[in-house]
Amino acid sequence: MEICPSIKNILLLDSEGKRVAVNYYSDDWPTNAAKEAFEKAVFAKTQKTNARAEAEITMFDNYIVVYKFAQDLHFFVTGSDNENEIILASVLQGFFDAVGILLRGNVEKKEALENLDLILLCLDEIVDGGIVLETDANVIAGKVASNSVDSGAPLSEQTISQALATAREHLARSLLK
Amino acid sequence: MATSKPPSLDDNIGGSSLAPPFSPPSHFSPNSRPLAPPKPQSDKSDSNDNKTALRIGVAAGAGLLFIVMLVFLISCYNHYYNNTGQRTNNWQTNNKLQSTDQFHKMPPPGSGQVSSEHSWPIAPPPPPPMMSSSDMSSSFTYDDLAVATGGFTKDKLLGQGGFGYVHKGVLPNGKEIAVKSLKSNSGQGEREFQAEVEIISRVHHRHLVSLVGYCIAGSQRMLVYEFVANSTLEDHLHGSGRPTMDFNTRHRIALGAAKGFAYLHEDCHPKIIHRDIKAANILLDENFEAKVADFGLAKLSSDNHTHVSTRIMGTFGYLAPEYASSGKLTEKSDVYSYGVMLLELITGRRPIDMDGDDDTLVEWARPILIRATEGGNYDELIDPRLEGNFDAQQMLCMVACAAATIRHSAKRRPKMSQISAVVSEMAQPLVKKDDDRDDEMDYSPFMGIEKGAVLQEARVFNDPQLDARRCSQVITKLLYLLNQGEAFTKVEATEVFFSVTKLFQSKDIGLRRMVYLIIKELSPSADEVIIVTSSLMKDMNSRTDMYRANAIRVLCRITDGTLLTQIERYLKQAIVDKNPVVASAALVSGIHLLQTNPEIVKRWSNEVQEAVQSRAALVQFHALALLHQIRQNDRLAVSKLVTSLTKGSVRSPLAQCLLIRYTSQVIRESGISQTGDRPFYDYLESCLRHKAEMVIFEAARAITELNGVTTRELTPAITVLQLFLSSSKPVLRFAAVRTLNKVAMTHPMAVTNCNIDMESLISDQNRSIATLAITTLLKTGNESSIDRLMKQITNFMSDIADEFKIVVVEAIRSLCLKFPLKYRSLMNFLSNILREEGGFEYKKAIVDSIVILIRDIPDAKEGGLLHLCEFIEDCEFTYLSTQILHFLGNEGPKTSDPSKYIRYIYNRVILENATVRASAVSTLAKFGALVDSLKPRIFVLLKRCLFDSDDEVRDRATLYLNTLGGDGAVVETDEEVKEFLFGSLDVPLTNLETSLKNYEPSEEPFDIYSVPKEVKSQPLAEKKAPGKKPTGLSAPSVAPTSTVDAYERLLSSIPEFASYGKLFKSSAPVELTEAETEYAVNVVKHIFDSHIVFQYNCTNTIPEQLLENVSVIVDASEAEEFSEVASKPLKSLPYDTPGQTFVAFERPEGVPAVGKFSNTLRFIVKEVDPSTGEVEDDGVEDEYQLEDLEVVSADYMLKVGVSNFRNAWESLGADCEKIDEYGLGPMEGLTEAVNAVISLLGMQPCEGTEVVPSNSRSHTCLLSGLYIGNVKVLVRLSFGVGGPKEVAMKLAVRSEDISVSDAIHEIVASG
Repeated sequence: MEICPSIKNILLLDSEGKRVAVNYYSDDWPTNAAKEAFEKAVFAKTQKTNARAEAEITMFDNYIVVYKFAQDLHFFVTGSDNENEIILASVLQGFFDAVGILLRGNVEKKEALENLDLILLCLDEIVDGGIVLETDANVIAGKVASNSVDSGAPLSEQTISQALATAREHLARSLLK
Repeated sequence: MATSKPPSLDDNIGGSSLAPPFSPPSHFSPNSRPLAPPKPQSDKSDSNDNKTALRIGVAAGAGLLFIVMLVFLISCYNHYYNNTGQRTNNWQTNNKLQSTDQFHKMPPPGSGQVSSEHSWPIAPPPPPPMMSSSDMSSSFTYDDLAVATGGFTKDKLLGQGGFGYVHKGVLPNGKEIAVKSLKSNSGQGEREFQAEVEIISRVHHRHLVSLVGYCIAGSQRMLVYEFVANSTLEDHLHGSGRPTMDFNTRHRIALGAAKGFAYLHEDCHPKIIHRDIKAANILLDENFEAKVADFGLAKLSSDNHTHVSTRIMGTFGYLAPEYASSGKLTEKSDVYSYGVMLLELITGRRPIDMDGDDDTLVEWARPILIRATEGGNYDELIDPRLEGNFDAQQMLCMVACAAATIRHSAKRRPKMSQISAVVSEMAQPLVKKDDDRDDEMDYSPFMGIEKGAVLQEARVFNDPQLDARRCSQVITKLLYLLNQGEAFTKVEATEVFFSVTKLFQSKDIGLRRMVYLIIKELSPSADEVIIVTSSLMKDMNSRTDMYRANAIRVLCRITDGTLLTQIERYLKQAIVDKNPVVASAALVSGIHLLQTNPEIVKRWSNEVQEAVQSRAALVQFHALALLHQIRQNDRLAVSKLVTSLTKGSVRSPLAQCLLIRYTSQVIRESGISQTGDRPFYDYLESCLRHKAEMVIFEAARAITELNGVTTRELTPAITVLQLFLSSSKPVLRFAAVRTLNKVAMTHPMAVTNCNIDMESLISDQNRSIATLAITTLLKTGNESSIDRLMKQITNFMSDIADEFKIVVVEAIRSLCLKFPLKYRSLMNFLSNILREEGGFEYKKAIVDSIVILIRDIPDAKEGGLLHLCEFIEDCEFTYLSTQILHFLGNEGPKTSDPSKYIRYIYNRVILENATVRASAVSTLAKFGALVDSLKPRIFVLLKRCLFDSDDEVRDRATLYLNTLGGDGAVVETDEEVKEFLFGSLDVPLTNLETSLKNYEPSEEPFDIYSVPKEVKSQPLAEKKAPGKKPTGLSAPSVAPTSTVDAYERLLSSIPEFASYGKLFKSSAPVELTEAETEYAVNVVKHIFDSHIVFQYNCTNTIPEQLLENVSVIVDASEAEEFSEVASKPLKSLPYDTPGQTFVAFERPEGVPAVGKFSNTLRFIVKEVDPSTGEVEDDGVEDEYQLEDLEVVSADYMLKVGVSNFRNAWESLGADCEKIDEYGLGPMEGLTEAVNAVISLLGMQPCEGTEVVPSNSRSHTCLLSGLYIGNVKVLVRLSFGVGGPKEVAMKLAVRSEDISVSDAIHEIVASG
């Protein structure tokens, strides 16, 4: 048995199984292709379940995956099959709630991508190289937010033309996809 | 000039019209005046009173609701221009008057006036320019319109659409109009019609054709529109004789139409869905500005759908798939139709190719569009008539829009406002602000992001004036790319890394965090790390806690050993830092660094110890984890650690979990104390009452996993797990049921208490939980519940993953063995699932189960074999096919009707790959050998196999034909043949394989007896590897190859030992030093007939030393029968290069002499300068005490397995059997007793009998081996538990030599 509780990966996917942000802490998936295959499989396996009220759990290729969905975002935490499920779930809950705090309750893909920096910092504060750093959502969010206080000027500070330009850019991209 | 040419031949679906009640119907100048849409025109108009004078009777013949667009000139327009002030009131009064007045007066205009749409005048004379004023929409009389259109004559007819005829007219004021006579409205009330018209008439937009007025005459309704001069888009694109429309115009039309639709969809309340967007409904004015016609009409004809059903083919090419199939109408259906129109503009093709090509325009274009959105070429899409004259950027925008609008999923199509924004992007600087973005859209701020562009952007890092926010954004983009799996080349990564380092100048905290992140992601090389080291070290000593913590984590992540010594001091400080984040960062980094630089991290022990006492929960957790890893090789220290901490000072639940794990480790290693109590059990038990669920569960799990756990110890753990079973949280239920499932394998009775809770989980939404619950029940349940459970399982077998299916299969197998009477339903279940889809492991589990059932339940044999036969008829796994064929060969001939299997077997010879064919040939031969009646037929079949294309198959067929007496005669098969066919191979396969590989083809045939028979034990390293668990049902692990060969070669190369004869056995290495001492020495014992050679493997672990003349001084005073005969020292032993020294002893031949040897390592030490590698000349003689070494009886026993113990036992016979009974004294369980005897005898356990099922009171263990002198020995051990913890054993030995049998007993008696 792995003596120290360890996390294999944390995934944040969208409602089509595409990556929003993922972090792998294990060599089990050496290539990007292997990672994508894993994400695809996990997504396919969990897609139809209802993991909105409570975190759900599944076993998969000798991994335990706990997961929770909100809007069009799917949160996953993976551990080995002899890991304490409840530890994994607490990591998931910490991640999930911290994202909720950081996105001010707007837990959806668009918001998450617009604040990807916060999400990435959040992941960085939860697990370091597979070892759990923190599971308390408020502490995690606090650590992330304390860094971003003076960055990311609010929208009002942008000039209208900037805002327009940004909006147009978003729009064009959304269509040109 | 052109007339407007309204709804074309192909008419279709109507449009619902719902419009806002804002202004009264108005009417504004249509062309040339861009006005804010909903704003009513201020008109200059005459008195409303005049209006009545212009009545026109309606006498429409048609009874259907048709809309005819009619343009007509009216000479005296004064008549119906009203004074602005009075307009509203008058309009309404008029309205009523008119309609009642005219109701029956007017004769309907002959509908037969127009013969067909093909006779439309294409280019009527140009209308006079419109006046600058505009009119309000209002009610007309039939007379008015009859006058305007010249009596609805044929030459004024503009066209016929789905809604009716359209005539051109001129109002008295000179305004050109188009009058659309609706087909009969079949009873739509006047009021509703007015309401609808009112709504439509309020819709005004630059790109929409405005409604000027209407007329009600009896059942006839007409709509009066402004006249749009330049025909339709369809006419211009596809009409014959039209010049090619240039791209700019097309782009303008696309944009105009989009704006018009956007207005209908998004700015009208309620929104108006057009339903009939097509090129023919896009009218063009003289400036080629698009004007959308016919919106809002569907509602007017809502009770008449005949034109939809009969003429649906007409606009089939425009229909959105979901609308066509389900009739479900949304504005996204319009978007689709618009997309088709856009494609027409791009390609110049019709939506449906009239020339008989089957593909619609969309079907043809979709693949190209998809390619285009992925960056591919889309040239073939573009209308060749444009001859390349277009703006590429604009074209791309249009193509992108088209691609998005024709998506299958309505949800994913963009909104009209988005389309107009994108189409217009390049055309106009003014962009409609996207205020209500479509939430359903795929939206990403990173859409279209490109590595190259971002790398360019990264140049902002080099700006002298850093824009922190911008830089953060760029880093986010870089991280996004990395996160998406985009690979950066070495050069790119280096370049980014260098520019990122510049960002340390910025004081922005947020930016700094992003810099830390990107540095970690880029994982720079050692020479690059140096560049950031000083910056990071500065941060490590910063006052900002966040800097300190993160700088530590980054630096430790990227650093290597050499740098570590420089920062070690800071890290030690950080471990005891007041700030928990900093302390945790340092501790976690320590855990990582321990893997690479253990010697450095081990020096932090004191600080870590201090941190364990920290009041911050997570610091304690991390400190505990690190401390344990530092000391994990020191059992005593771990034990001490656990002892002190279990007294209670651990706060964090995570740390508590860790402590539970360490505790169970200590328990595992220490065993049971003298008093029979388990140490630390009380601590584990107390954790069951912890407030954190994770701790409770960890403790419960730890208890269930204790070695030889008793029911009393289990009970409290089971109780808390039972509580979890009814938790609302799936994770808890899963964790509990999974643990209970494992417990049920060994202690089914302990779990039965949970059965009621378990039953309720059968229908759990989470399939994993349900499966585990069922399999647990299968293990604990009774015979009566089986049928019900099987039914439940069958229901969801297809929904669960293979892993769980295997669990189910295994549960069923054990169940079947438990309740043999139920074999029929269980066997049926197995054969059913065998037929379904599944992976190899799953199928193998099923096949294994069936095989076991056939073996153990005689009644199940015939049915089971047939199931297997059916399975191999369609089996994709060669391995399983051959396994089954082999099994069939052994069991099939013994059944009542062996002939029925032949067909299945011979089919394999015909249908399968060579491996399976060969195996089928062997099976046939076995049938031939055992069933005489089948022999002639078998011969025929085997002879056919002689023509097989594969060598192996032919060889086997030839061989078997010969051994069976290939002349076809029915002869008694002799014993030897049977032995050859059915006998076991008594050499380990791996050994045979190695020997065959080494065999060189020559005259001398390969001798199977030359193959060494020893089963190699696992190498030491294997045991140490953590977390390696045996998987599935696989046989005892395959021994690693050729260590014996290597030893043999090594020893025979040494002249001193060459004369000792053949090596009998080499032991596994025995460690003679503690782990991590200066010199690591282990010894291998090589047994020869009358000699024994000790091979000492030495490793020097001190870089500063070179050892010379290394030898081991052996004191054999406690081994009297041995006398030293030779010694071979090692000349030189440099750092970290293992070397061997040997000592040889002579002992009486054939006698299994035992004894104890004490060893001392003697050598000359020479100092080495580690940097230069230079060796000092002078050495010092030194000695190093090693642990003692024993030669035991087991050393004279070779582990040689037999595949069929019973056969082997019978064949040895009872002649040399010796039986005796022994009391083994107090033992903790049978497992310990079995292991003790096995290791004492050093024999190979057979058939998995070394594993004792938990809680069993008796056990039989089968051992086999080869005793020195090549004597085969078999041992049958029967254990039983007598009194409290008293174990008794009956030992039965058979061998080829009675003296050896005695010797075995002696070993046991003395051991």
